[in-house]
Amino acid sequence: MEERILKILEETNDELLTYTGDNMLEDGIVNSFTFIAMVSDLEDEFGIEIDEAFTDEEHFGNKDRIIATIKALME
Amino acid sequence: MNVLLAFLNGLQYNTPQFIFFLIVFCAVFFAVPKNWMKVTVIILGNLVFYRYVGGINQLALVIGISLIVYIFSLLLQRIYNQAEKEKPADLGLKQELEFWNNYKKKTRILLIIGIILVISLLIYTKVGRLMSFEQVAFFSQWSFGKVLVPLGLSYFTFSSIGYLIDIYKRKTTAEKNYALLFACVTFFPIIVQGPISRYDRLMEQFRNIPRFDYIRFCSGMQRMLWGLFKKMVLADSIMPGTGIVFTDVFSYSGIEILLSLIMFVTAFYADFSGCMDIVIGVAEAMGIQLSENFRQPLLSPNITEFWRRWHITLLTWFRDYIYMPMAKSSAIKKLTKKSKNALGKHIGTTLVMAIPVLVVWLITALWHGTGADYLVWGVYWAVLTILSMLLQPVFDKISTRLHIRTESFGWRILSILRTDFCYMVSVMFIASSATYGLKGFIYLAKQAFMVVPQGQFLTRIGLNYIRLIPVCIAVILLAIVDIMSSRGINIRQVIARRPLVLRWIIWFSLIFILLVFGIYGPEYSAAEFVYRGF
Repeated sequence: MEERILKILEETNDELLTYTGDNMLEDGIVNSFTFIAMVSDLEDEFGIEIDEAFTDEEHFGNKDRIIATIKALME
Repeated sequence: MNVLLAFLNGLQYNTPQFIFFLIVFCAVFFAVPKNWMKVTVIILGNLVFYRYVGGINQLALVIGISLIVYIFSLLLQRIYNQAEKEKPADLGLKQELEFWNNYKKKTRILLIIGIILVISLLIYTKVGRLMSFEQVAFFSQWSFGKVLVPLGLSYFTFSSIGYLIDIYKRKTTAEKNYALLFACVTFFPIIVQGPISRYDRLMEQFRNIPRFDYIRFCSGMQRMLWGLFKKMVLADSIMPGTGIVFTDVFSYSGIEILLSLIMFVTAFYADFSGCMDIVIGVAEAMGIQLSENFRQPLLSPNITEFWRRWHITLLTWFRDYIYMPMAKSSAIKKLTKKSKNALGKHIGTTLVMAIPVLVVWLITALWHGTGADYLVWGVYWAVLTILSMLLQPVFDKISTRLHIRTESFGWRILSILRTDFCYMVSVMFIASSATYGLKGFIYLAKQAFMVVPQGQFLTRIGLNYIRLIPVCIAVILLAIVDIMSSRGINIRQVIARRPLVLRWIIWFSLIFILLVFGIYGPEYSAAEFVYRGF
């Protein structure tokens, strides 16, 4: 599953794979357009719905948090 | 005593009165030993400042709003505190969301009422302006014949709403100590024109105000001095002249209008960012860190970057509380899915995202002004933002085909000029329409690119070659400082590392230029900052 997530992140911006901060939007790694497209791609890929509450920096701030959030939502 | 009170009547950040106020304030603030005493001194300072910059009759409204915020924040918090006790252990992510969503149904109505109460005054004053003060005066007996616009209304309204929403979303908790909240709402460095501050972060700092630190104090004062220099030597020297041009555009042509536009943008930036340097510097001297409001926006390579660096706290507020919640909403996500399937990922997503972009720009425009000129201004920025996103792949392809090195110095300069040009065009909407509507804009747009000087330009805008010298020096200094800052160099730290004599020469030269060339004096009433009154 991780690989599928990483592939989508790479397609969004390959810098996401090496980004070590905790707020990709604030740090300009993604913009709102690419961020929404990425969330939509992840929803399609895993057939889940990602509530707005989970798209904050706490759950979607960087690669590791996204993986943890998707895993928790898939449980 | 009466002389002192009369003297304070002209209080503003760029006046001798403020220097006097600051000396007295700092002396007491640093002298008192306990934190609660420092907070009390801040509140007293805020009240004095508000009395002389705003007005005593406006204070009741500010106290009223801060009480509403206080009461509603505690009501929201009480429900969540109760929920915290009832929350079962080991909930999964989805179950936890459901659990909190049940409580959000209860808190949502409180949030909405709180926001309506807080924002009603702002809307009332905006509508009042639209309808002209006199017509609304009938409804506001307490406003002494005109709609009362409390000083800094927009700024503390935005901060207050943000604070309530953050509590509703459980990103922060409500403060029980009203004095702390009141100290934030009326904090004198931010009350006139921001930066729009997150109250939770400010209150956190107010809880542990650091002791006096000589280096930090000097650094803050140096930043304040730099802000005063930008405002009084640069902005106030050329702002009135550009006003003369834009209220009589048909008498000017070609290069004169272009020059006025460049001068206006420079003056506007120097004015607003200068004010921010003053207030952030004052707060820094006290040991309070405020959010930055500008990061050398005129050096931005594209418009998206520009709006991440210009009036940062306002745009961040709109992004966090209006744009992103809309963009992340399930309605937009559903539309994105459909649109993606029909039009492909890039075009599909961008076109749907155009909806929140347009909404947020229209609201930003309405906040700046309610006239048609501002609506055009808002639509202009929305269209530019969407087009730049939509056409990004095309631009990328063109630059690859033409072998353009986008990292090269020349291309970077061109990109910066292109961004500043876009900003200048948006300024034209507002500058011309204020007096002449569309006709004025078309005239400006036509004339701005024709080199047909009418002559006597400098004299007509109240400048001469001698006055131009300090202005040019200020522009060059501003450019150097901004370029260095954009490369991560802190100029005050660079100066601080120089020998003592050189440091004093630099700072005293700045004070000397300020005293000799700054716009002030008995016949001059200190020009208000441009963003005051919002």
